[in-house]
Amino acid sequence: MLAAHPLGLRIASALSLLILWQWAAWSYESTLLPPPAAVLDLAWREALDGELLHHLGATLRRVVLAFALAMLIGGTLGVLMGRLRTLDLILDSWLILLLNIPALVVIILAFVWFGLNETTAVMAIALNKIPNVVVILREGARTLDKDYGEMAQSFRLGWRKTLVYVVLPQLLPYFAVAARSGLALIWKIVLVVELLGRNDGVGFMLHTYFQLFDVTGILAYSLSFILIMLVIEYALLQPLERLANRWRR
Amino acid sequence: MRSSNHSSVSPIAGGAEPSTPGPEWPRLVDTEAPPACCLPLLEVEIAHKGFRDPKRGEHRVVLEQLSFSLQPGELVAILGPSGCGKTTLLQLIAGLDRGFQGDLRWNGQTEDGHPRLGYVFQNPRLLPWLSLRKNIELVLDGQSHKRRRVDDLLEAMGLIDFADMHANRLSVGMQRRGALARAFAIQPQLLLMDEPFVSLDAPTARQLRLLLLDICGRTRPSVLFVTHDLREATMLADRILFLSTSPARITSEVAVRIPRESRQREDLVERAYAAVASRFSGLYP
Repeated sequence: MLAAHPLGLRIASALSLLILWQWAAWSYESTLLPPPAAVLDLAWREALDGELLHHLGATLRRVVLAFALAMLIGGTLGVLMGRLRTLDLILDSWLILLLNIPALVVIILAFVWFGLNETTAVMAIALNKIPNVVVILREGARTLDKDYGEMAQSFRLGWRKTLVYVVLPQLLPYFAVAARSGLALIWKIVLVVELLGRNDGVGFMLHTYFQLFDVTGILAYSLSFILIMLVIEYALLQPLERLANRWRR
Repeated sequence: MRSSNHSSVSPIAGGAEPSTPGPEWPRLVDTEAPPACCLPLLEVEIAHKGFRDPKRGEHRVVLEQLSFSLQPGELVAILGPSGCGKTTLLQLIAGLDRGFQGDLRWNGQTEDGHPRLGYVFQNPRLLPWLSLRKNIELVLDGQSHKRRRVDDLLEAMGLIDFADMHANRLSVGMQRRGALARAFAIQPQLLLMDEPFVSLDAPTARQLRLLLLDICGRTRPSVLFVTHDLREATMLADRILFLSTSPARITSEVAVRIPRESRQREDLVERAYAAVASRFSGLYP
């Protein structure tokens, strides 16, 4: 019955999580596990107060900038590495190194070397995401269909038409995968960056509430931001992906 | 040109031919040349084309000492055993592969130094993320009345009702017609076709062959098409070139004298086919 209604199933699942939380809060009765209503209440007051929106905005701006930067640089590099074997050989060891450096190391070194400023913060976030995009897009570029390439060449489509109509449509699914996995990664890293070296943003506020041992504050801020990321995922990324895949059977 | 000597066709199924440039293969020529009214559109002279075998690292010769020319408006079929390098030959002519020794001489080029070339591949290769109409418009370059021209072509191909469908939703037969329409859209000087009617049911294939003849009659491109079907070659071509097994050379050349306007007549095609086939029996079943 429920399986026939995917949306109903989703809502039921979310509700059961909420009920579980409420039940746990009732049974423990501790300030360290506030009930959902208390968290919602604080989030609402903070939002009206202006503080919450300011910090959400700061974090969101960093996410968007770092995301765009990582997709652009990582995408270009990945496609080039997928097509040019020499470049791939040269950069492959760098890539493996970057993939395996812990995010925290990149962030700390960036702040130490380039100072505690906004540019460094965004660059540090992007740098953590770039190798991931490179790997996905390199794979995409390797699977480009030679048949279509020959078609483009024999009909002399020129590089611009070839890129827009022949190459990019084939890479789009890979961009979509990189985008969705990338957003999840970036927003986890952005909080660490803010915690270590910024004085606004959700990460900064989590740090503050942590020092006060205020779990209600921690939950109010993190859940608000999760909500925004969910909206981006469902209202922006998924419809875009569906639009791009419309032609598939 | 030597006159014909039908009994001197060399056996092709010999396999290991000496790769040294020894005596020429006896070459059967059954025509007093195509009307030499004008300069040939294309003169092909391939001295050597080989590939490195990726598994064993050996050099494998695909084409050797292969030369022919193509007159403007001429329909030429290339027939040969499978895997003998027919597709490679078309790719060299299309400029998709420049790694060979030899020469392609074009006459009557367009201003940018390249001939206008239409290519109908073995698989249709329409872009599945574009509609049929967009697929054809894509290869047209800023020409005026683009939409009108594409519509006319689609109409002639019987595809006008499917113009706005994504290419991958069409049946294979429709996709092949779409690929033909795309190649014709640019009004090519040379149309290269690589087994364009293979794996189609007989009526569809016949319909497309007639369509090809019809359009060729109107726009008069030179056509070079690869096939392994001698009957198809007899029906469509002015001239048939027979290739040997690899390394491929032209072993013989036959002019088919069915007038263009009678090529839909199956009795004429059948008679010509019987005549050609009897000479090449055993070589091309």
